[in-house]
Amino acid sequence: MEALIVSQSPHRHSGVTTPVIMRDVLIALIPALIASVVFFGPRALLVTAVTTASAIFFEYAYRRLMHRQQTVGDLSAAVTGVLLAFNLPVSIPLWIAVIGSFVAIVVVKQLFGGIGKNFANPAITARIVLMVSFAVHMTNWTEPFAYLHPQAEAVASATPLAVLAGSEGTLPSPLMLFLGNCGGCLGETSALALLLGGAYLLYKRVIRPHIPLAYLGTVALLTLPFGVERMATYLFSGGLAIGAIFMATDYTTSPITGKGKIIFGIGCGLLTVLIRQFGSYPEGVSFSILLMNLLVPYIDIWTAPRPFGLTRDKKKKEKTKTAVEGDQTPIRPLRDVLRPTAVLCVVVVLIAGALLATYRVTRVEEETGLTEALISELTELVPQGADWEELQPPASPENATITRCFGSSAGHVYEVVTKSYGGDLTLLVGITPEGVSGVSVTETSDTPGLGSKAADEGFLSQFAGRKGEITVAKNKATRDSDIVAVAGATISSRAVTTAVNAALAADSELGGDGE
Amino acid sequence: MSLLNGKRINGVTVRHDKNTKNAVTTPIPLPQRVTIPMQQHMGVPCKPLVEVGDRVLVGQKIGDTEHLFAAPVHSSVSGEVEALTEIVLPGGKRSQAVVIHADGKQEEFPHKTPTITTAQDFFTAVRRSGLVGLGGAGFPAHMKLAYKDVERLDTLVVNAAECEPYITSDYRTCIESAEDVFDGIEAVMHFLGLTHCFIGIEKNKPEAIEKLGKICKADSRIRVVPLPARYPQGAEKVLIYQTTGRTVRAGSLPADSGVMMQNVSSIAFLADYLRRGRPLIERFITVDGTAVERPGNYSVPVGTSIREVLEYCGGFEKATQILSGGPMMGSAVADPEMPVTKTCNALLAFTEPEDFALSATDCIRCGRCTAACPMGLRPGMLEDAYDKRDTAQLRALSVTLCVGCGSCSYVCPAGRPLSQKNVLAKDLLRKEGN
Repeated sequence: MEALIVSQSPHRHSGVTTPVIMRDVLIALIPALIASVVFFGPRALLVTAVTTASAIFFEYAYRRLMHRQQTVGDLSAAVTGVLLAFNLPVSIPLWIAVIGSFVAIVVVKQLFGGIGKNFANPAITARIVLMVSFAVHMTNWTEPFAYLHPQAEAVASATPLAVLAGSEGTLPSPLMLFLGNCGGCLGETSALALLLGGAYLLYKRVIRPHIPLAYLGTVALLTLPFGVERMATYLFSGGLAIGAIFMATDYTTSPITGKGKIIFGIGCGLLTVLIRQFGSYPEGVSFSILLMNLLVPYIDIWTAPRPFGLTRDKKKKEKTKTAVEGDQTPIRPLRDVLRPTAVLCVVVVLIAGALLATYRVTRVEEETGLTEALISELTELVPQGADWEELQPPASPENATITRCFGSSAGHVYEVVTKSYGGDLTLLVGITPEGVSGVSVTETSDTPGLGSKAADEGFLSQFAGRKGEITVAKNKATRDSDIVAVAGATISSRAVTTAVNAALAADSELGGDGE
Repeated sequence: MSLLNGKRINGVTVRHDKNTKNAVTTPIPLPQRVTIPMQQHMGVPCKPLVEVGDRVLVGQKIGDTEHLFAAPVHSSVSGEVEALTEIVLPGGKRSQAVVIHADGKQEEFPHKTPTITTAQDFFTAVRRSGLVGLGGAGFPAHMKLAYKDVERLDTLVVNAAECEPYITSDYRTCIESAEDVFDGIEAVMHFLGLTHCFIGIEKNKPEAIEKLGKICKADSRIRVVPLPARYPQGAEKVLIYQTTGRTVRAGSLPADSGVMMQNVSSIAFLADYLRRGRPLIERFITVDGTAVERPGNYSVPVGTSIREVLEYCGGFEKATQILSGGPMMGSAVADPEMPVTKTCNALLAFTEPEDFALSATDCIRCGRCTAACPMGLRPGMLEDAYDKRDTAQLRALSVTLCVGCGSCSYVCPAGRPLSQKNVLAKDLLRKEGN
């Protein structure tokens, strides 16, 4: 017989190791992956593959370069990669997805020491970074099943939450939302698939029910006053399901004890509803989880379990004893934990309230009235105009874009963007029943001196009172409809004319009299 | 704050592996030679009372000391003292030992049934019996029973939880010696003036619960309490809480809460001793594990070498790891020539180590250790504090409450040596002089 193996007790292990846990999380994400492929097509798989592979690569490369113990085998990077993909729209350019992986793995996770050391959820933070940096790409939602009709023009779809927040579009029924048949990030739309995964995680005891229940319960409770259907819409739309089941339950960035988890879940739910209801973003799950991530250390101190048989008095005695002996200041529950937490909460609430108030005030102004400066500018173009209000811009003709439209008692002003010599040219065109009442160039990138002369009063005054199609003559007006171009800046002159024509055409369409 | 008090005690679910629960206890063949350590208890070691060449009888006292905090040692065989040596016990402690060559006659020392009239007589008799806590700690039984403030005691808690995997020796005692258990309880309750008794048994042993329940019907003061089959029900403070609902306060003894706790095998032995006067010279142990060919429950003379027991049960050659005690709290045997002592309740031999040689990775803050700790500690933070040698923090986190059950290490997905660090941390505090 050879030498015996000697180890310190316990000599047995549950067998549940970090890779086993991460593998279970990956398994739990499979239903949502299948749903994403069903709704958004094979590109969902491609995006997931890219984020996962790049997340694994960044983890491997970072640990390698930093000469740290290789942790890629614990599969946590793969989990982050998949979760990140689930938080991206299916149309996301792949290079942006890779940047997301970099932010998640290197910036959020590894720079703070790797697994277990990061204070914020990597996938959530990466999503927020991408959302702020690539707002257009990150909100380019695709209609479900659009991949089945590649010939049809890509239909941009508003997310249900955007619709709730006032965007155009129809709200899918709660059932469709539950199944995931709606616009959104590729892995977040199907509450059903995510709940299946969550059930698996609970069964495998990978997660405990505290956070998902507290989170979803709080959202349900707070939205119940708006009606059951609205509540269902809230629960099954956006990133709530994936956030509550997969993101908020991340071990590293959630509290340790059951009680702490409940507080954490309630906080997430509260913030989500507040942001969705009052914030300028339609979606609030990412921000609420991130904000609660930051509070986790406090929650952990606050909800620390009391050791067995240690009554409060005894505990106090022990603390004061250490205060005398140790140079480290002991934790006094009331003064060091409760008070800062309370102060912190009050500060957060105050700031949130202030922001909210500011937002409400400014938003009100934008909706009902226009700024003083703009009104005076508009009045210059339509001199008799009063009671200015912004209208829905009419359809644009081919060669120019009507971006805004303002109406008054005397006439309309159109903001028109058209192509000129040096790029986009933006003008405001005032039209009254008597014809063009004024033209002003607000933005030009044409050659100073020549092209920009097209913005001169002298040139622009030629448009006054015109109706009908206007044409451009190079040197001398030969027809009634002609105006004379600025010498050496024919293209710019033509562009201005095109814009004025577009405004005239739009005005007639709108029922104006500038014929 | 009542939610925080944790009315539910944490623990972990472990595989029970009670393969030998139906194996009737049988004696192993008499060994040729026994090595009897002078220290098989917590406290002051005994001094040998015999010389090389002396002839000793079965149950003859061969080691004792004038100190009260000790339990005398008796010979388990009849034969000739061959040598006085020093050995290293599992756990690393050195101890003097008496080596006796057995003559095979097993001639019994003329035992006298102790005559007891007062509680003091009872304590004296218990000391003479050589009884130590058979649950594993080895605390001299008379020291525990003779609590200074006997008026305060009112309840006896009998530990028959046996929450460690594999081990069924206590279970077999409940089944095979249920009468002894009852008599022992009666004796202890009588001499200590106790009014209640709770027998705690995990629910996974219904036969034992039934058997003891039937016998204890004779005395309405005794109640059998079925416990959830959740490790570590047998930890002293846990069991007291689960049976009596009393919380043993940090830094105090169970007796301060009015509770006297004894292991069920200790109780059964006591009854047997009071009847026959034969001291503690053999142990009923479970032999099991992947390497063992004939697992079962065996009655083994104290001092028999571990190798001999395993060779008799078969599979000794295949073993790569041998544990004395259970897989959760037992100690690994470095030298199979070591003797079976009074505190040994199981010998487990494995072809492959039970824990699959986990190398520690980074803590993932999953909180499993905190959720597992029956004492409400935070092992993750304790490890951190120990690594920094931050004794103030260790004390603030009450590391001294750790009962060493190993639940935290058992569940840690990162394979961190949490419970092992707690042992070191407690040692560090002790060295600091608290």
